[in-house]
Amino acid sequence: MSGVEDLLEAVREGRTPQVPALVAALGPAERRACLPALKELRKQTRGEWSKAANARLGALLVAGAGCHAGPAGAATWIGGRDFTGRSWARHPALGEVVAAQPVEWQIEVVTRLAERRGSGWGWELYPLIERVVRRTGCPVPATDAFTTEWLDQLAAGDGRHGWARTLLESLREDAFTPVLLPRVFELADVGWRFEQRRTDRPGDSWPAALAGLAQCGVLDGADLIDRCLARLVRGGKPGDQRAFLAVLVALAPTPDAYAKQVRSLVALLDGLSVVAGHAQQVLAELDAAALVEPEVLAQASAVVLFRTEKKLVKAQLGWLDKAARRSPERAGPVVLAAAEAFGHPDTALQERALAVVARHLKAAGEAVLPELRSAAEGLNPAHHARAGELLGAPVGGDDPDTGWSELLPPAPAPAPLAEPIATPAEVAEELSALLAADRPGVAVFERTLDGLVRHARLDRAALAEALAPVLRVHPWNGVGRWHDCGPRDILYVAAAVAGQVDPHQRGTVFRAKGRSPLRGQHNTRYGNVFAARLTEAAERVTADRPPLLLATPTDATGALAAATLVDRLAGYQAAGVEPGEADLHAALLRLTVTTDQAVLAAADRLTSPAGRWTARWLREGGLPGQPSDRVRFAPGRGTGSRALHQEHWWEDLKRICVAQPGLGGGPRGPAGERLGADFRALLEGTEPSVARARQQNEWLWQPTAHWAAVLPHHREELAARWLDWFADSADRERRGAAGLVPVLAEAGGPAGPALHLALAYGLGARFPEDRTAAVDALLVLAARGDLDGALLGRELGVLVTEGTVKPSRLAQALAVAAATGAYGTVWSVLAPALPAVLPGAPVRGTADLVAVAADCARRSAARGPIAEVGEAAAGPGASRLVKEARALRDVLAG
Amino acid sequence: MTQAAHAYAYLRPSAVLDGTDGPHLALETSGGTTPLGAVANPRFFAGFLTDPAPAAAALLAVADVAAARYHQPQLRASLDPVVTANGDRLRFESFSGCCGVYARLDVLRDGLDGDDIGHGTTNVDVNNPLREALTRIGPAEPLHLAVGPDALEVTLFDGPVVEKKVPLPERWVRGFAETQVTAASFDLRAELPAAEAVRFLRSLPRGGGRARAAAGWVVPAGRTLRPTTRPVPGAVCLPGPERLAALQRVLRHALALRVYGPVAGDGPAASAWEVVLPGMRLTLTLSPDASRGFSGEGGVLGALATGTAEQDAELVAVLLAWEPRIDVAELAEQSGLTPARVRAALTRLGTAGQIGYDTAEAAYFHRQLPYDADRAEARNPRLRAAHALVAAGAVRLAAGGALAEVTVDDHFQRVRTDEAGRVSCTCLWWAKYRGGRGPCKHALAVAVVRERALGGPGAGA
Repeated sequence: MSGVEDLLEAVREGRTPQVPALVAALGPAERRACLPALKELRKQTRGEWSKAANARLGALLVAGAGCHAGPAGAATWIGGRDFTGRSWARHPALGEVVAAQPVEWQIEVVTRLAERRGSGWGWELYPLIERVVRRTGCPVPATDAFTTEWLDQLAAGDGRHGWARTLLESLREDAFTPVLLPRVFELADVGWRFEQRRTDRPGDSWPAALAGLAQCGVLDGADLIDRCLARLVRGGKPGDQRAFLAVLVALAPTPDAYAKQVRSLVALLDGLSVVAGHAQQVLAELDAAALVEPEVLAQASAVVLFRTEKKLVKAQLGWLDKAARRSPERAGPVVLAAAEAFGHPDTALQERALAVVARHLKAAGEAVLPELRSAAEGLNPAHHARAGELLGAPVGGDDPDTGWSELLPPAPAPAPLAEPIATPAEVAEELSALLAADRPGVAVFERTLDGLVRHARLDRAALAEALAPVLRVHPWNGVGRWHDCGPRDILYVAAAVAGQVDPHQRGTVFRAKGRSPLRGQHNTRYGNVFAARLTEAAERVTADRPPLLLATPTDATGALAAATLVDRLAGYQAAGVEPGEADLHAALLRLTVTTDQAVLAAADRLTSPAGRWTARWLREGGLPGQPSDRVRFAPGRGTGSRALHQEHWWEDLKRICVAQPGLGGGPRGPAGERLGADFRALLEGTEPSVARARQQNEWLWQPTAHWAAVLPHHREELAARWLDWFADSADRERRGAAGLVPVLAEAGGPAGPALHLALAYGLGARFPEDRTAAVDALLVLAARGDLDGALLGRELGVLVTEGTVKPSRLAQALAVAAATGAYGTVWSVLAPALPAVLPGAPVRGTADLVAVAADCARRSAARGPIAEVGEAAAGPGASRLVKEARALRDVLAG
Repeated sequence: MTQAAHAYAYLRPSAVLDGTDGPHLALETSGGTTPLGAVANPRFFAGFLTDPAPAAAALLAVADVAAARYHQPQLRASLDPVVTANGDRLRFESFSGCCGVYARLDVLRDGLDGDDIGHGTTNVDVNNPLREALTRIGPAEPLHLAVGPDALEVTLFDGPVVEKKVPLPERWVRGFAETQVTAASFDLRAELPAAEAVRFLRSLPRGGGRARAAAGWVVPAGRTLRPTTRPVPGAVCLPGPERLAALQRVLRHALALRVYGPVAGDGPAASAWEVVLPGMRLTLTLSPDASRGFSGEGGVLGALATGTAEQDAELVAVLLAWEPRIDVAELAEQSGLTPARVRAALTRLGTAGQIGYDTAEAAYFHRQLPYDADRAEARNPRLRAAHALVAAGAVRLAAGGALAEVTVDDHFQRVRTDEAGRVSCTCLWWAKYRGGRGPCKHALAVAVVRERALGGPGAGA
């Protein structure tokens, strides 16, 4: 057997350790002859998963590296992705084979390998490259990947000495250091490595080791400082920035060295907070030592005073103050620079800036006054009087007393439903869109259902044909046990039209014979209403095929105009069709009562039982609202711990809820007809209970706009029944439910305590998007004139006292509302809330709340002292709360 | 999969050089076109930037976007910004690696002080030392700007010194070219004065470790913008607000913030955010979702599939000469085409990267992306799939013309065209976006077949 055959045999059997010797035995021509076979073998082995294939890969790698005479081909071979899985490149046999190749070949191969992009290769190929570079003394490849891997090797400690040597010693003795270490400053995502350290010895931290290298002359200290500053100036991830700041601090540049880098330092003031802080400190020291030009102070102030961090702004004002004290001739530029902070979002800092200006105004002279006056317009009105005194001219030209007018968004316009769907093809498209949507809308669902019924009547075969492509993608598979019937189950009706299911032939569903397949075992009440409507529609499109649906709303909220329903009933009557029961009941719940005599007269002319019931319904003003009874709900002992996320969480609930008596039998029709049980169940009595709270905690179902559209004129009743969901978003920090508050705000019916409580919980919700939704709802209610600010404010006061709503969250929400110009609205809510919020131990965020209140009161020209505000303002100390309370007290005093 | 690559060849790295009269910002150019044809290292401007600090910050913001990926950030993005000289202004454009953010800095006449501004488009080199130097530029000293080497320098150099070869993903080129299609439907929705602009932009989430915020909307309210959870009338979609991070750089210099967007619809939409700077405008255009690049929007696929505009486009292309504002009426007069056909031709040119859209002026402008953009668009996956369907004879037009059936494998989809010419389909993709991302492959295939049936320019292709 020839040497070639031997080698191929060894490779096939995966005898990697033997490969180097076998390769060495071959001449150049024989090696070349091996390559095609090796390539073929590699192709076969790729994608094979077995122990043998894995071993073969290793042998292939080594043999290929030995047989490639050209370095380019060898590098491509060794860097192949199929070899990385088991790290065969770290096998000693590869090193042996490579070492046996000519030196130029080795150098060329490792240079090419080091240049390969991507992070995958590092760990596997590094040892090979390193060995070759160290042995041959060729130029160190300074690529990103190689440098990163070198760093990791250093951090891991070297194999021979373990951690006996410190990092500094390892670096000092490593020949790579002078080449690779400067490269470290250009790597992305390297900071976390610098924060690790082997031991607590001083030489083992990266910053200290780098400083050590500079000290002992291995690296040029000035160059390191330049690189470090350049890296910081370039910016990047916070972790990296902090790490290189630590390096900079360890390098400890002298004031003279820093003075050469003034531009960099000023640039750093715009960077990460901690980096800016360091640069600010250094610059202030340089300024004090007169090592930099005086203009630097003004430039630095312009950058820092624009920042939001209080610490930095305070320090900058301190630097300004000191500079002017030291040399009064700088007072002019100093006061002008300090005036930049007049527009700062924090009023306490404005005050501080004002104090600096006051201290040095005399030395600054008259010339600065015009500029200061214009800057003072940016001050919070609370400081206008003081600034006016100081600058000798009144500040705050636009008097809030005269300039205020409440800005509210326009009340939402009704969104009428589009015309009924005209063709079967469009029904198919709408159905397809509904089934594909994450959250299908009310309008889409109602129109599609109506379209299915209408076109089934006109031409069922054509409709079935049009639906075919959609039903192929969405086959009807029945309803799951944990499923709540919803808009997507319209598919059942479509499947019935297409003849895929027969709604009249029911098997046994969930062990109940003849049960509708839409009634899962865990349907909600709203799901049952869906099930009733959809089951009935499916039955009728396959039987007597009514011309249209009565309950299709005329508005996206679910409301159904009286005139439209009367028309539809007249059509039914003329065609001699009997309305479906569920359809009629759903339509009655949606009916918008009217006083339009023409419509009422038309209704009275209806003779069918459904028509007479509708006429009576209209005359009697529809379904009555229910009185809301406010109840405090605190079922448990109240352990006081934050147990709201644990087992028995309900024991710690402290909520304000609403109880309603329920509808009872409900209004009856002229012939004694009653609403179906599914519909009556919607309005059964409700009262807060552990059972209700737990039930509404099921993650499976949350209220949707479709639920709201079942009872579009009874938002108070809906809110009363859904309150636990809304409360969850505040006290149990759950996401999402408050998104429905705006839907209720846009719905019809009186807005009572339940709706206002829903709003209160939403304004105190944990997640910003929930609060945003609540602000939407607040403004909509205010714009529609339905907001009872006193009611909402009182409840908010109670909820804050109970700890259910956190003042900081409430302040954020109300600040957003106020910023839009709704100052009067927000004040109308806050004024009744403050007397409850202010007494007692101060909670984080209370000061923010008072600040929002003061701003709103000032701009809406609210007057009339509030006793609790006065007490808080008279409180001891100078905490922020006391200051804000004083500002509010002054506003209210006029 | 093979990926196209793009090679840059700069004479030297862009840099800020120290001069006796203050710093010199020398932006180096590579490849591109001018009215005289292709030039290796064109020169467009030499003079001063009148407001150095804001200009430097805004250039950095453009460079930030070029280097950023806002979706799957672990992947790298490395394409250089593009500069266009429109005769009266310089436009610096960049497009993020995730294909979801388009940035453009327009340096207007007021922002420049110097020689005539040239005409043409090219790449500009951005490197780390340049970034550092730009960050260090202070407000005080005047900043000299040169875009491209002067003729003398070109002869002095013995070939390019900086050569970079970077991957050029097709979808990136497609997205870059197509951003203008989306932007052309925008209107001004809000304008905030400086103080409110700063407050609003600072209130945005910065991204980072937390879960990505869902698409939100903002609606003008009083002097500011109010976040809202729903697309109420007048609202502008703000998808992935953390993608506006590049604007933080210029916040200190902002004079105003202008927001542009389409009429609020049901779902998320793209929007443009323009910071007004002294003599400059910096605009970021965001795609409807951080994970959804402009390349998939497909707003022009219909025009491409049918090819009606192809000859018109060739005619119109000849007439374009790097105008800062393309006047459709004027072009119509010059070309002898109707304004509607000119508009269609411009759309076509846009997909080839020859047109940009300036929301502030509500006008197209001429530029030629220095990439082979035409080819990229022709290889749009959806377009290729549609042609494959046509080739397979999958399309069957029903009598009457409104309906068509497209057979795909073992099933069929039905494509409907209504009286107004709007197309819709029963496929899942259409159901999800309903035309919001352009036509589906079935609708495209039907359009091609229908045009051939009418004997249009696509016939015989």
